Amino acid sequence: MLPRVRGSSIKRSVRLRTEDKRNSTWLNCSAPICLKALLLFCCATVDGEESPTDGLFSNRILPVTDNYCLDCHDDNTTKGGLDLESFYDEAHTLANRAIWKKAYDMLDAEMMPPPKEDHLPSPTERAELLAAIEEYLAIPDPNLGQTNPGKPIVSRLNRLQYNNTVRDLFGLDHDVFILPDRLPTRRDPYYAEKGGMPDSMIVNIREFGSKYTVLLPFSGLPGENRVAHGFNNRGDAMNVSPLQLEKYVSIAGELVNYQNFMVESPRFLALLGLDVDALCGPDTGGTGGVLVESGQQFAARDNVPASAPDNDFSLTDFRQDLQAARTQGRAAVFDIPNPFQKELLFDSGAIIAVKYGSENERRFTINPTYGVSIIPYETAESTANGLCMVNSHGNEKYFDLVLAADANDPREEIRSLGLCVLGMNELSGYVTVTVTLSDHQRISRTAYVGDENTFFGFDIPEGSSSVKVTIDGQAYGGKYIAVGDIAIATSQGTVGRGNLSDPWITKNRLKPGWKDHSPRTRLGYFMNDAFRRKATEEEVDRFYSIYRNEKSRGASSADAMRVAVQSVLSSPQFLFRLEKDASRKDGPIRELSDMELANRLSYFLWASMPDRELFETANRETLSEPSAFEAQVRRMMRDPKIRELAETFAVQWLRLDQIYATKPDREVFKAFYRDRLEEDTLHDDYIIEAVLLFETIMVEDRSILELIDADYSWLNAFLLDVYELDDRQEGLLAAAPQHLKDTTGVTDRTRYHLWYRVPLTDKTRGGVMTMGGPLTLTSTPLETSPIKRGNWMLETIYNRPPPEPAMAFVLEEDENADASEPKTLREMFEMHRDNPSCYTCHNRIDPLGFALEAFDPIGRLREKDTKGAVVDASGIWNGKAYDSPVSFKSAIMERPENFVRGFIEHMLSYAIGRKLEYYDMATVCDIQQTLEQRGYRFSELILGIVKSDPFRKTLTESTPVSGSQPTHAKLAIPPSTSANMLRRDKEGGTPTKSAKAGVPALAGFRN
Amino acid sequence: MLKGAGVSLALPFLDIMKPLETLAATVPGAPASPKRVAFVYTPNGFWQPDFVPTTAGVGWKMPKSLMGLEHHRNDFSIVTGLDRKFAGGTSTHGQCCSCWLSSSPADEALDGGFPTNRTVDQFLASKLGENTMLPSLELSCVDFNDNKESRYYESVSWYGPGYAANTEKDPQLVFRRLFGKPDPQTSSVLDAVMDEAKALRGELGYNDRQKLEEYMQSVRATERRIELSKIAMAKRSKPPIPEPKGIPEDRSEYIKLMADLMFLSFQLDLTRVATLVVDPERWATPRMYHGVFDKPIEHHKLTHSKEEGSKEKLQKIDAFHVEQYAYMIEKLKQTQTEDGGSLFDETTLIMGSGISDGDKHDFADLQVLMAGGQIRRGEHIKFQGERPLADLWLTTLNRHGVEQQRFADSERLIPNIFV
Repeated sequence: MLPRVRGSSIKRSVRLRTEDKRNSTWLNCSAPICLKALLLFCCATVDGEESPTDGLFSNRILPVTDNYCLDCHDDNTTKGGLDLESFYDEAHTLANRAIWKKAYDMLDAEMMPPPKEDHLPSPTERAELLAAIEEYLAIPDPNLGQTNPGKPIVSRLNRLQYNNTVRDLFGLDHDVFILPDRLPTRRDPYYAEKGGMPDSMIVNIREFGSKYTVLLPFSGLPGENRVAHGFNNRGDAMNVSPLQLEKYVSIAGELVNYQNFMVESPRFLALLGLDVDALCGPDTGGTGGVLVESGQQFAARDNVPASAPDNDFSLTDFRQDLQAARTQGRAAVFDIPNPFQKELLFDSGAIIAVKYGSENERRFTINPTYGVSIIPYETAESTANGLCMVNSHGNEKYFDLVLAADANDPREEIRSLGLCVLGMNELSGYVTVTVTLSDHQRISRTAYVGDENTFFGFDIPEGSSSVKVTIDGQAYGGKYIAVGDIAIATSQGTVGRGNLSDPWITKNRLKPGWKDHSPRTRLGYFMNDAFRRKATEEEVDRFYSIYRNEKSRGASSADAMRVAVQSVLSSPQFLFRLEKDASRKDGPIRELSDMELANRLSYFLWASMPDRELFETANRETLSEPSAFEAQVRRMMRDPKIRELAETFAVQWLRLDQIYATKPDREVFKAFYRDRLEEDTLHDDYIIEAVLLFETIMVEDRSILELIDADYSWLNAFLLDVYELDDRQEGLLAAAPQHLKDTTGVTDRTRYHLWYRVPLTDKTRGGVMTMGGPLTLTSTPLETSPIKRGNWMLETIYNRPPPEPAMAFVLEEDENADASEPKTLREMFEMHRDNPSCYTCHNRIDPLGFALEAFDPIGRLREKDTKGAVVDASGIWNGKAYDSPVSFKSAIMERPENFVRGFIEHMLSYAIGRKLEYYDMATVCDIQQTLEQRGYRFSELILGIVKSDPFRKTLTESTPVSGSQPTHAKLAIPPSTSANMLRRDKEGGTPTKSAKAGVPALAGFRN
Repeated sequence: MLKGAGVSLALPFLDIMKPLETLAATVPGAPASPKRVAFVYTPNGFWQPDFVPTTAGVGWKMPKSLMGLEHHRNDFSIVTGLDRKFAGGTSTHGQCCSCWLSSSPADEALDGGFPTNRTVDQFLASKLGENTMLPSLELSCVDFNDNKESRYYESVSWYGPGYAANTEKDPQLVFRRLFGKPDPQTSSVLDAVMDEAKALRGELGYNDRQKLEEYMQSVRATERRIELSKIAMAKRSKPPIPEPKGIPEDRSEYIKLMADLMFLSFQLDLTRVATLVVDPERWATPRMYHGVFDKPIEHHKLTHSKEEGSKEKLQKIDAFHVEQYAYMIEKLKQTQTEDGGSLFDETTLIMGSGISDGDKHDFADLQVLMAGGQIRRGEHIKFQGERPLADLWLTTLNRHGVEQQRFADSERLIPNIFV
C-alpha cells in the first residue's frame, strides 16, 4: 500500500530521546560547562592576557552546542565524523574553524539539529548562536594577525581564457577556434558602453553546435569540466598532463604557421617583420590577397541617387573632398577594378590591398571576416567596373569588412568613409551599415533601400587607424546584399598617435610598423603582452636565442620568429596565471602588485588579458589608488568584453550551459520544437532570456534582487507564446523601432529574433526561478523533477547545495497497492520525507521543488501534471505560506538576504577562481552589508568583490596557516596536530588511546 | 611506496622518466615478449540477473548478457564479489569511474573529498612502460560536446590524487599521436619552454611550483615521446593503417576503432598499458547504440527506471558492451606480436564497472571480466563476503613485476587468477 524506500544501507539511526535521556544529557553537560567557564577565566587571569576570542567560543557557542548537539557529536558517537568534544582548546579550535563554517551552514539551513528532533534550539537561541559563530569565524588568523586572504592564484588558462587571450594578444575580431560552449548568438551593438538597454532588439541566433567564423575552424582545445558546485575556472581542478601540453604546443604551432593569421592580425604580420604586400600576389602561398591601384573617382558611373538619411555629408561633398585629399596623397578608392575579372571568393583572411599615396607607398586594406564574393550581379547595377561585393553564403546578408587606413603604418587614420549599397531589382528593405571604431564605439546608419543604389557616408573621429564596417542587410529582400565602391580619406600619416620609440607600456600593443624594429625588440614587446607583465631582459634573451638558433639553422627571419612566438605561447608564463612572490616578502600576507591586480581584474570581468589602458595604469603603479582603481573597474564594465561575465559566469551560475543536453519529449512537448525539422528549439530562447536579464541588471546597474524578482522580462514571439502572454505581441511589435520590425521580406525566423523588454504586471514570470530555461533544465524528458528543481534552487539561488544523499533510493509503489488510491508524486515524496534520514535535506528541497510544480517540464504554467492529477504547488518557505508562483516569490523575498549572500559567494568564488573557505565569510558579510546600504546595485557587488582582501591580497610563500585544508570531516582533527594528543576522556580524565606518554596534559576546556 | 603519501607528493609519473640517452639506448633491446595490460571501463554497473553466472568454478551456464562471449568461453574468466568502499560526501556516480582503478579507501580522500589516487594502470606503466614511447595510453569514447559533469565522471586514470591523466577521444588525434611525424619545430619549442620553466621555478611560491612541476613533467614526457617516436618511425616505413577520419558515427565502430588503435600501439610496442573509458556515469544524456535501439537511450536513467521493459533495455546495453569486449578478444587473438606470437598471449584485457547494481548504487559485489593468455580462463571466480577489489589490482601489479605488499585497501593476493 505504501510507497517504501528501498535500499539496504539506510540506518534507522535517529534515536528518539526520552525525557530521561534528555535529563541525563543535561546533567552530563552542565557541570563541564561551568568548569570550562571557570577554567577559561583562570587561564585568562593567570596568563595575564585575554584570550583571543574573549570568551566568545566558550561562553556563546559551546553552551548551546553542548546542549543541543552533543548527543550525536560527542567523542563516542561522532556522527558525520564530527566530534564537538575535540574543541576544548582555544588554539586547536581556532585552527580548525573550517568545521564551524559547516556547522554554521547546517544550523542556518535548519538542517541541524535534525528538524524532527524534539529538543531544538529556539529561534532566538539559533540566531544568537549563528551570530556568535559568524563572529568567531571572522577572528583574524592567529598565525597571520589578520584574516587569511587565501593563496595566490595559480591556474592554467582555461579554454575560454586561452582563446580570449590569444584573440586580444593579436587583435583578432573573433574567436581563435570554435568554442562549443560559446553562446550561439550575435548581438551588435552591445549595450555595455551605452549604460542602458533598449526596449527591443534583434538577437541573431545560429544553430547550436554549428560552425561559426573563427581563425582556426578545424582546431581547438579540450574544455574544462566544471567542479562540483563551482565554475570551470577553478585552478585546483585544472592540471596539465602530457596530452594537454602537446595540445598547447600543437595549437600554437598551427596558429603561427597559418597563412590567414598574418592577414587577420597585422600585429603578427609586423612581429614577423613582414608587410602587407607580402600577402598579395601569386607568391603568397595561398592567402589569395590582391593588390590593386586606387580608383580615380568614387562611384564613377554616377548611378547613386539615394543616400542614407543620417549621413554626415552628401555624396557630392564626399567626392569633392576625396579629390582634394587625393592631391595630398591621402585618399583611396576601391572601385573593384580589373584583377577581379572572374568570380572571386574572399573568405576570411584573403586581403584586398589598395595602393595610394603620393608615391603609391600606402596600403588601404579591406579584409573580409565573413565570406564575400566579388562578382558581376545581374539584378544590381555596379557603381564602377561592373562588379560588386556580396555575401558568399546565400541568405546571410551580413558581412564585416575590416578597413585599415594604411596597413603598413598605424599612424595613418581614417578621417571619412563612404560606400555604396547596391539596390536590386524588385527588392527592398532596411539596410544598416555600422562602423566600429578602434575604441569599440559604433556609428550606425540605417536606410530604406529600394532598387536604387544608396550612399552611406561617415565622418570618422580621430584615433582610428582601422575600423570594422558591418553591412547588415538581413531585413532586405532576397538572399544577397551587395556593395559597390568603398573609399576613404585619411589623416596623412604624421598626425596619428603612434610614436614608435615609446617604451612598451605606452605602446604595449605591437602594431603594424613595428616591423622596422629589430627582431629582439619586436619579440620583447610581444612578450610583455603575452606574459601580461613586463618581461625581463633575461626572459627576452632566452626566447630571442630560439630565434637566433633557428636562423643559424637556415630558417628565414619570419620562420625563426614563428618558432619563437610558438615557444612563448607554449611557455608556462603564458599558459598559467602565476602570481609570483616577487619583491615584497615582508610578512605573511602581501598586497598584490598593480600588475597582478590588473590581471585579476581582467580575467574576472573579461575572461581575458588586460587591455592597453589597464596595463598602462598598472605600469604607472597607480591602479591600486582607490579612485583610479574604481575608475578602471567602471570603465571595464562598460567595455563590450564585459559580456563574458554574462555569457560565462551567469550561464554557468544558472547551469544553463547544460540546457542543450535536455531533450523534452518531441511528441508530448511539441511546443518546444518550433519547426518541422525540429532543429529550432526553445533551448536558445531560454538561454537568451536569462542572459538578457543578467545583462540588463549589469549594464543598467540595477538591483541584483531583480535576478530573482523582476517586473520585466526579455521575450520574443516564441516565449510570449509559451508564457501565454501572446496577446501583447501586436502592441509590442507596434512599439518596436521601425528598422527592427519592418516586415518587408522578413521571414518568420527574423521576426522571432526580435526581443522585447516586456513589463510584467503579474509576477508569475520575472526573475530566473520561473524562467523556462531552469525549469526545463531540471526536468526529465517527460516529467518534472521536484528534487532536481529543489536542488537547483538550493544550489543556484542560495549556494547551499544539499549534501549528496547517503545512498540511492527509488520511490517505489508497493506491488500490492490499491489501484483505486493512486498516490500523487507529492504524496510519495511526503512518505519519503517521513524517513528521518531523508527529512533533514528534503525538508529544504521539497518545498522549493513543489512550489515549481506549477510549471511543466518545458516551463509552461499548468494546472494538472502529466498524469492528469491536479498540481499542488503549495507550501511554506521562510515561514510564509504560498500556493502559486506569485506567492512563492513573495515567500522567497521575505528573506532576500539569503539569496544575496549566495550570489556574492558564487561571484567571489568565480572572481578568485577558488573554493571559498570559512575565512572568506567575513568578506562575504562585509560585501552584503554594503550592498544592503546601496540598493543591491550590481556595480557595488563588483566593486565590493574587487576591493576585498581575498581579491587584493594573498598569502606569501609557505606561510603557515590554519584550516586551509579542504573541508572534510576527517580533517577536523588532523592526526598530526599535537592538540589531538591531549584529548581526555570525558569521564575519567585519563588520556585516550591517541594520547602519547610523556606529553604533559594542558588545561583543556573539557577537563 | 608512493601510495597514500599525500597531495604534496612529487608527481609520481616522474620516476619513469629516465634520461633520454639511456632510454634511446635501451629501446632496441627491449625484452622479447613484453606483457601488456588494458582496462576497459563501462558505466552504470551491469543488470545483475543477466550478467552474473549462477554457479562458480568451471562449466557454468553463460548468462544472457555474456552470450556474445560464447565463442570465447575459454578465453576469459569472470570475477565476481569484489568490493570497493564508498567514500561519503562526494557524488556516488562520480566515484564509480574515478575510483575504479584507484580503489582508494574512503579515508584517503586527498582530492577535495574524492578518494582519487594513483591508479593501478599508472603503477603498471611505471614498470611496463619504462621504455615505450608512451608509458601509458588513455583513451575514451565519451564524445559529448558539453562538459556537463565534473571531471571525476570521465577520468579513470590518475597520476596521483587530484591529478587526472587526460583522455584522447578523437581516433584521428590518437593516430597522430601514435604515428604522426614529429614536427621539427616542436623539439625547439620544448627546449625553450623547459629552459623557461627551470628559470621560473626559483621565483615561485610553493603552490605555483607544484603546478610548474606538473608542467615540466609534461614537457619531459612529450620530449620523451617525440624522441622515441623517431626511433619507432625509423623501424617502419609508414603508418600501419590509414589515418582515421575523426569519430565514427556508429557507436560500435567508434569503440572498435579505439580498441584497434590501442592494440596497434601494443603490437608495435609503443605502449604496454592502456585504459579505455567507453562511457561515464553521465546523467540525462541520451546515447545512440546503433543496431540495438532505434533511438538514443539514456543508460543511467534506465538503471533506476521501473518502467516496463527497462531492464530488458539495460540488459541489451550490457550485451552490447560485452560484444565489444568479444571483438577485442578476437582482435587480440588475430594480432601477431613483433616476434610472431599472438598478442592475446601477452595481454591482459580487463573490463568492468565501478558499480554492480546501477539502481542500488552498490559499490560491493563488482564484476570484472578478465581475458588473455596470462589469465586462468573459463572460470567464474566468485568471492563471498567482503573482499576488496584492490586485491585484484594488487595481484595484477605483482604479476607484472610491480612488487608491492599493498595497494589501496588491499588485504592479500588472489592466488587463482593468473596461470
